[in-house]
Amino acid sequence: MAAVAAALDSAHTGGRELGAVERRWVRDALDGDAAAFRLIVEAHHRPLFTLAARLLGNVEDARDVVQESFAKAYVSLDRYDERHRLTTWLHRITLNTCRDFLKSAKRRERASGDDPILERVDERPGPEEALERDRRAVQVRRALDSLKPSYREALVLKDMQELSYKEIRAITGTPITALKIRVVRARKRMKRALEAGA
Amino acid sequence: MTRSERVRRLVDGELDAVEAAALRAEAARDPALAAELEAALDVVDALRAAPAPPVPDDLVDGAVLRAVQRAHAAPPRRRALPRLHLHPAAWVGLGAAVALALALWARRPSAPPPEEAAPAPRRVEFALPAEGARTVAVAGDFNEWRTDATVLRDDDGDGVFVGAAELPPGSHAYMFVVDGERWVSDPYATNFRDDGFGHRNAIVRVD
Repeated sequence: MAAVAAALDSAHTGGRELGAVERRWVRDALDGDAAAFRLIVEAHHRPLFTLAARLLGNVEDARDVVQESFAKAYVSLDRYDERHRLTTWLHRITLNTCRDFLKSAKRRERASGDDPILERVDERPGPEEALERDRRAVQVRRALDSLKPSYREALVLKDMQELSYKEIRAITGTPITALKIRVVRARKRMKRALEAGA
Repeated sequence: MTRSERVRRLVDGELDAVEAAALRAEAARDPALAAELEAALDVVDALRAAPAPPVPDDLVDGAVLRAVQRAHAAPPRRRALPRLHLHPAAWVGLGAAVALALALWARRPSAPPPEEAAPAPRRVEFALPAEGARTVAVAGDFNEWRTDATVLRDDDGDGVFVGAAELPPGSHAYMFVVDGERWVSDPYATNFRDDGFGHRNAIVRVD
């Protein structure tokens, strides 16, 4: 992590400069430098893990999916187009891996023995407040799980990951107007689901 | 613009302060609008307040290990660059040929200035919520108002038809055509022009 921080600091974290640093990592990784690929993983794993955990509702599944996504990215780095942001490309791979996972038998096998994502939260406050927050978090999780996948994706990407419509467009390939329509509908369904579970 | 779209714009921070205040003032007079706004804000608040799960400590190590193992089976491909394996004497000949080519190129008659390249068309995406519709198309001045030239699709069956067209720079008027006969203005457009027949054509500008 320190290496990433140092590299990002030295790049002044400006968009173009960071892009240049990442392109160098990609080229080094393509030359077989696993340490360079590790820098990519360290720089990008957090938002990808959060995305996967929120889509799948399970931290173990999310870890598996994110590790699989990075493995896919590593062996197809030659297909990464440097004109686009690396984070967009990695998000696309992770989203597609999540979609595949949700369709897979693996998901169904694990469903009975889930450890709910929200049983593990950082910085728990006092007991009563924590209980209320956990109760609300479980409600949100259940409501999200009750939505159809395209609506769940829309809410996770827009309202939880707080990505812009332009970013979501780049990740999913869905036209922005269609995304906006989907978000409006998903919020309405989510509201009904939250009320039904309250 | 639909009420839901106005609410979405407020919730997503796409309205300026004056527009937002106007919508809130309208909501104070319109219970249905107020209810829709409150519901959308409740959902967004609940989702944003949901805690992020902690990242497992072994995530990075596991990801790198899996990637390396995967690469062992299928190594990452370097972007292919042509490699020439020539005898040293052949390299001398190749160098001379390149030098000659460069000299000839430098002496070439000056080419006429290139004509101004035509502005490139740009891809414009269209979407229309039309649950229950059999077909949705876009008809506009860019496709001579044909109702079968730019057909939208609803591949995921959620009632939202999407599609795209390559449009040259400039302003273009268009409408949606539902089921081949019903002409519908784009509810998400921000610019319109009356068509003289009682409809409002949406306007899209391509820079």
